[in-house]
Amino acid sequence: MRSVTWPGALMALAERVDGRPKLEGRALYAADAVPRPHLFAGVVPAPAAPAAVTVDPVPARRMPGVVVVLTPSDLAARHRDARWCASPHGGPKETCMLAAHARYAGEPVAAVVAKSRAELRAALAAVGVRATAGPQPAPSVLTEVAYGAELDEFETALAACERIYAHRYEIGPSPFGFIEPVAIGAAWDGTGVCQIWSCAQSPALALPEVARIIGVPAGQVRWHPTYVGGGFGGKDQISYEPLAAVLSSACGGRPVLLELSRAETTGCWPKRNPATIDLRTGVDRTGRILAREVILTIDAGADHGHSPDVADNGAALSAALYPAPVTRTVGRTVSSAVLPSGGFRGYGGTEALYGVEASLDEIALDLGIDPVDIRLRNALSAGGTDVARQTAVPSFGIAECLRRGAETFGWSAARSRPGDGGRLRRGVGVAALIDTSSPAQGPGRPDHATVACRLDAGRFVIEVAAAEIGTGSHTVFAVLADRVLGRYGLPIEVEQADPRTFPGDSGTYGSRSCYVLGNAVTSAATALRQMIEAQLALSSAGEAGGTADRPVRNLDTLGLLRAEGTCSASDAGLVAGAQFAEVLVDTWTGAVTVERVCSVHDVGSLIDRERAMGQVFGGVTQGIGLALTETLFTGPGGVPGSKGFLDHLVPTALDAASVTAVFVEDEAGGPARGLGEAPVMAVAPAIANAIADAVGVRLRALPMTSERVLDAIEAMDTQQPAGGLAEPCPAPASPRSLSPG
Amino acid sequence: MGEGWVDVDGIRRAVGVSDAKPLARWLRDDLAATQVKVGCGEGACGACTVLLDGVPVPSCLVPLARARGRQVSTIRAVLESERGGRVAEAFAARSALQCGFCTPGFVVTVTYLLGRGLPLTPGELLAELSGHLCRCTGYQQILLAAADALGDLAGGPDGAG
Repeated sequence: MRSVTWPGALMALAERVDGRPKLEGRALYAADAVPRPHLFAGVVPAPAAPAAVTVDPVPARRMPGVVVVLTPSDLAARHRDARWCASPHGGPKETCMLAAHARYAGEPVAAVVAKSRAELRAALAAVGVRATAGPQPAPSVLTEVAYGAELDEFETALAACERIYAHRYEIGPSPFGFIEPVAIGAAWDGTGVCQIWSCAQSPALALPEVARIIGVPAGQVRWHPTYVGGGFGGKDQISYEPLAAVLSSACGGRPVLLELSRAETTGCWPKRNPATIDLRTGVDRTGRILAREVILTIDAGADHGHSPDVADNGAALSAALYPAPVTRTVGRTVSSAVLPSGGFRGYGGTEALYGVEASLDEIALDLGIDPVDIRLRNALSAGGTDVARQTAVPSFGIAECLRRGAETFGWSAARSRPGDGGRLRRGVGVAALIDTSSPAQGPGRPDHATVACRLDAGRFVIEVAAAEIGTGSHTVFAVLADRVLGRYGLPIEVEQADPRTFPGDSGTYGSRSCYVLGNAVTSAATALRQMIEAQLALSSAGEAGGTADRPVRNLDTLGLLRAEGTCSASDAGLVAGAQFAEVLVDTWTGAVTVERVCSVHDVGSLIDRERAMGQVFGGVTQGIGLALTETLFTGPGGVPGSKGFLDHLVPTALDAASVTAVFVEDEAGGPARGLGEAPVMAVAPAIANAIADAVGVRLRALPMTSERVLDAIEAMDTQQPAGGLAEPCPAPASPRSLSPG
Repeated sequence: MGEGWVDVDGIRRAVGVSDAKPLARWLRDDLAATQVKVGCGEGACGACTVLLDGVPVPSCLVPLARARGRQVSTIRAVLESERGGRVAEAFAARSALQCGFCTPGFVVTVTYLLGRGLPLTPGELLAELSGHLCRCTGYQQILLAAADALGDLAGGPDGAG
């Protein structure tokens, strides 16, 4: 990828390093970077599952322009039998290139390469596929992790509580909705090197796995860095890279572009995690939580993929946020014969917090306690212990986030504003959040990154393997390097390096860019500065008069200097935040308008306000989509049925709320923490809580579509619960039945 | 099949008169005009927006034959205009992009609005841009950039909106 220039210390920090290439359309994404002319590849999805699939390639092979049609039996045995590895970034485990036995409808069962896009589409339609779905297997538990107290200890503690609440919340399946469709290119050069262009978020993790599956040494895979057109966790695994490589090989090594249509990107690609969150909470009259249990159940679909880690992370975060005397959380994955789930932004935290924060709101209302106060009373604070990982938490500004947010939002005034009982009802809601800055799991499982800085022909170049997926991470790296190297007045560029340069770096995910890669950049820049200063000292010693006060001229004589920097984070770098939302509910139609959101984040130290605000505005807006409209449409048996953005309703400019971003910083000057995922978290419960405040009904399933809101309002009017998804609130007097739902 | 031409960013390109291939695919696949991004191919996301005789269209929905004898301006030509440059400056200054995939489409449409010269209330501006999906930014910085670029045109009161 072309390296990009940031103007350096003398200019304002207003621009992103990747801004101009993207604005001008020069930025190359995977489908742009594949050399032209290229062949066009596509896959045939299984029409039903679970099913043995019979593929008849003959009609398609006779179509004009068709170069290759591959079925599972056409693959070499080693390719047919190759399975993706267990690492989530290696793709859903048990995935194969082409399935002879489809585990879910939409799984690729054949592939076609043609000379043109139109000929490809015609040939894909001509591939004969027969599959008779067997019975859907009963959901089975794949994995389960638990944090905190044992079950019997929890039951005893709960039984002793004055008030006990049990709630169940559900989140439906939904697409990721990145705007760049899935695109993978492959070609082989004359020396047996396989070239890959891919939209994957984490090339360094994906490369060795792709090499293993196609059966070449990692050194013979050249992964071309490209921009990623939005990922949000949805491109965080390998996918069709091995298949594209095999297809190219079958076409004599010519470049092949395997591009999914939008409908395929929506319906045949891993989806966001459907989840059920079951909570049991015991409190005293003052709202102090004495015993709590959170069970997060993620539907993994037909395959493990990220889901076990998603469930684990959700359970760990929900344990840490409210360290009650007895806390027990469980993260569980279950399988079903449908499209696999990925790891959406927030990685289980988004899902778990929807339940945790909506439930706490119900409890606060029932006890007559202000929802901000009940959070202040129970939340983790600095100096406390992370219940899940049993590590000390040096900094966690949740109280400051809640106070600053309440003040900025005008919480007290908004809450006490009387309604007029008319058609449009206004309500406000709050929810707290917790996230990590790194996938590090303690000293035994650190998160490691290596980067380099070099002085090269009158400019500084930062080399990172991690992709710029849109978050502004490369701009943050330039800002951090500038803090160290800005004194020399040279331009700073960020270059996405070949992933083999830094094999230990895992890429862009899990909000790790600032916390791990950022510190590595600072370390590399500092090492480079020391090299420069040492050289300058030598040269000025040799030059009469010295030039220490004119370093720019001096650097011209230094030639190429390069320093690597590393960071090894051993803790997760917990971050705190709070979302405040105000909604307007149309009680005649059920339509919910999110009017404004105040999104507060403890970032430790703010590196780059403009880019940080962008993360917040974008994350909150995604949260609004998750809360209100986004659904994956499927036919019976999970057959892909979505028409892309025509039915996957992502927020438009008309749906975006007015968002105020507030940043809380560490007074002690702690390190910058992650902000990639946190802004999307706790938006949905804040909106759910605001809807409850507005119209007095509690919806317990996402998305809270107009239809569901209207059903809930009408059910309240007739005093009948609507399908278990909603019921009048405040909750009935406790103790309530302990059976969920 | 007869022959015709389409003017793409100032260069005349030969096309067949009955070619039903979507304009966006022709631009990308045949002309390597990869500055035109295709996000959906179904007219829903706006990423592939180009000017057809000066008016923004989702190029994925325009059959190539319908562009025959007309002028297509992609982001490349749009940025060569003074107005396009002004819009790009505003987007850069406001950091109004993240992954960047939808960005050229937004810039094309805002440049059109600037050239059209009609005043827009904030509500009207939202409606004009609602045909462009952005998954990253939440639109806030894009709307600020658009308002900056439109200057007095975007200064109107928001009547009904």
